[in-house]
Amino acid sequence: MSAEIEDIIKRFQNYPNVVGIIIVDLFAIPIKTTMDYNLTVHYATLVSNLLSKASKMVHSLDMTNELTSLRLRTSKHEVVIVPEENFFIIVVQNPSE
Amino acid sequence: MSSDIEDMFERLLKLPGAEGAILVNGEGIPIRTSMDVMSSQKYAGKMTPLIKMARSMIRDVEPGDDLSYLRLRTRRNELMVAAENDHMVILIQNNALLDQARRTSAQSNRFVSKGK
Repeated sequence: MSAEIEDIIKRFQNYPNVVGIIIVDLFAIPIKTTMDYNLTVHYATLVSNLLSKASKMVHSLDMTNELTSLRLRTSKHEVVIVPEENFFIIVVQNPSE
Repeated sequence: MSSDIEDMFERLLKLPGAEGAILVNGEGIPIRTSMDVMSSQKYAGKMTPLIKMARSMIRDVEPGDDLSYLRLRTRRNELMVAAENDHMVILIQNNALLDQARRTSAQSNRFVSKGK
């Protein structure tokens, strides 16, 4: 799993717009991050809750459907959240538009 | 209902892959929808707490920042939720058509920048 995670970090870090990447395990504990520690923990906890809620919501609307990614566009950034089997990825980037 | 909102609503439905759109007021009640009443209420009811949570998350991690919109991608479709003041807009778009439109616009952007 850690090789896969290294790959993910490497791939995303090369994009010019990326501000930071955080990999969080299913207990909302960050396992890898390119951002500062406090901000990372902050994101990890909040995103974990949001992801769980969003995921459940999709399921409740349609039992056969599932959430594949979540994108939050703010005035300053774009936060992309991708759930994987054993962890989830948070990418904070500057919007390209 | 003001014609501005009508116009905006009609424009939403013209977006690529648009399968449905719902306009929800400050009380969580769908005031304009292209879907049946039950589905609209279901979507409105479920999206309201989610967008509140997303908005409070953004304000928490970055004071001064605010949520513009939320996009949930699922296996079937994409749900876009945008909130302004009290109102909320929910748009459901089919993945295949949406991706196709994105590819086309990405290609034309590349074409334009190459020409420079």
